[in-house]
Amino acid sequence: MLISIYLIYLAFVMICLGMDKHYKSVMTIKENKTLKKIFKTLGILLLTITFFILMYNEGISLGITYWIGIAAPAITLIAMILNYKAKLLPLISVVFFIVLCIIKYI
Amino acid sequence: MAREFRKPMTWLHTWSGVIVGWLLFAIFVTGTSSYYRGEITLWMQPETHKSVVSENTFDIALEKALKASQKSKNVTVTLPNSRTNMIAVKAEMQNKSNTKNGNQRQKRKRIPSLYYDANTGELITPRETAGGNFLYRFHFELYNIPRKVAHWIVGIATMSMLVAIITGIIIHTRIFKDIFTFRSKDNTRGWMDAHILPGVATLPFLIMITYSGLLLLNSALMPWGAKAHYGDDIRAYKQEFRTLYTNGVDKPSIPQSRATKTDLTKEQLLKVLYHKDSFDVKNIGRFIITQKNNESTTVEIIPKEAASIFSFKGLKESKTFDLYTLEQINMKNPPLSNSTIVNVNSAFISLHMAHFADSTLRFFFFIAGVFGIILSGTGLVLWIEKRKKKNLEKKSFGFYLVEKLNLGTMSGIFIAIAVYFIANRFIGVDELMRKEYEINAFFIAWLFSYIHAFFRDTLSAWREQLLIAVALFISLPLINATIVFDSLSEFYTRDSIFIYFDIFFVVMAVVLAFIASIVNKKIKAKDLKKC
Repeated sequence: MLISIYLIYLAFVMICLGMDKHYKSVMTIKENKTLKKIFKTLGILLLTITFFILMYNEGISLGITYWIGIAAPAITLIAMILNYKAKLLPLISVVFFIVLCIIKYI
Repeated sequence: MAREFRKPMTWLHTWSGVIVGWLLFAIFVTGTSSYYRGEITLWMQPETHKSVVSENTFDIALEKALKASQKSKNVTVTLPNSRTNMIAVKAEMQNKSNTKNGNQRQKRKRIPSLYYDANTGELITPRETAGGNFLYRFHFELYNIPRKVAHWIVGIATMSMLVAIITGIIIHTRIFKDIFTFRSKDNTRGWMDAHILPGVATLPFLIMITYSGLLLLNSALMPWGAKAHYGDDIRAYKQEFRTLYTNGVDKPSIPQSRATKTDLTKEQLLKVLYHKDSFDVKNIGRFIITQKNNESTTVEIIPKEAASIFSFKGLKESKTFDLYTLEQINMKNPPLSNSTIVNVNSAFISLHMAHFADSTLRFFFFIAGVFGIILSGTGLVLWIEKRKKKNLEKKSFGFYLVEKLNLGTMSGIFIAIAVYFIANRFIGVDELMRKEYEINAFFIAWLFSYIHAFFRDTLSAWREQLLIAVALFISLPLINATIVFDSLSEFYTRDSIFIYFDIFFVVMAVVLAFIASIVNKKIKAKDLKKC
């Protein structure tokens, strides 16, 4: 479950990096159309994969419910980071991953 | 053309939201807390707090089940799970009673569950409290209003919410482009973002919760279909509808054994519960022992974890075994109905109530509910923000009323909930009307915040009420520790449910303190302007 939570979060991070204004506020490297497209495609792909992973693990109905349930706080968290500390988005994502790993193995 | 269409939609969105906004806010707050209805009731019964799951729990549950089976032919044992820390035993008695036409028939007498400590097996007699049920009932029946009238009021509010959602989607054209957009600015734009972000992030949840809310109120809002067919015999309608829910279940095969009561032993029961075809022992949430007039005894096992959203109330998945032959005689795997209409209906209702959700999924439902609260709250504030300048030029009563009602509703309900919890700890255990006193405390606190709102400058009243709410929420873990704990070690030895409550109270205090600090900044800026 924790992996799915992180993957959904990561997918939305990728999607937001594929958007013009968010790319500019997060990335320090020069704008690159191909990179943005890759981010967007990876994000959508990851969202689709997690959708099926959750359905496989939890059953169709519960999987969809989990997916929608996780998406809402993930979107909000990213929106908050983008507003307050946009440049720290990659770092926060790594910290978030470490925190989830710690929770998993406690 | 599109702009022309969007204009009336914006008007509709504004007014369908603001007219019932306060009621919607209260419904969202009480409805969201209802996801933890059972837990709130547990917290409000401190007698239950000492029960902790241990290695003995399963054995105790078996003993209690066997003891209850001596007197009752239908015993339901619920084991502790992530949402409860006690063993619940419900023994149904069958009494012969005379019906109106003189015939004798078997009438089931409902007996309340008995609760046992999961570690010591002691009988727990919890204090009387309205608990989470009051908040749950309030969110669709309000309080002390005839049920039908209340259903209509809540139904109209829900329909307005649905209209507001649909019109909101129409007027917000950049749903996907602005999905991550939030600008924390103290202007209309900032409030708009704070309104749109939770709305877009939880859009599927909001549509589901509103639409399913309407479905749940269907018998009050649209009674004509049933009336045309069943007349005034609503019971017959409900009975037939109920049978539709389970018409897809195969009838259990009749067990071959003819065992006697004395065969109901712990060893035999263990054999069933540990049966290779049954659920994992750790996943057993409930088992029901049914004795059929010495003909057969069956044990129905229901798992803790639901396998689908169709698993709710009496429609959960289960496996039934004959106690003596140890044969599996029946299996239920929701959805239990053949009817697509019934299944769609039960999927919506189940999603609304989230009976199938374990504590993880329930938390996501709770978060989505919190977003709903933010959505309706920011919507009401936005109405004020948009009309602030206009009101400075020409004072309007409508503006004054909305401003005051916003304050009284939004901060008032949190104060009321905190007071409700505190009252639970201070009202005497033996007090006959303690349930009513708790509820009275809730409403009196809420009423006071409305009165305070109308007699005080709005911004100052916001700051004061928020600070009161902070003080109340921060005092709750302390009051609880002082009144309930025998020793400080209980802080961490108790069940995690109660630890989460303390965390929640602290989080609430921090969030409200943060909002109070924003209001404080506004007051200071206003004072500076005046100077």
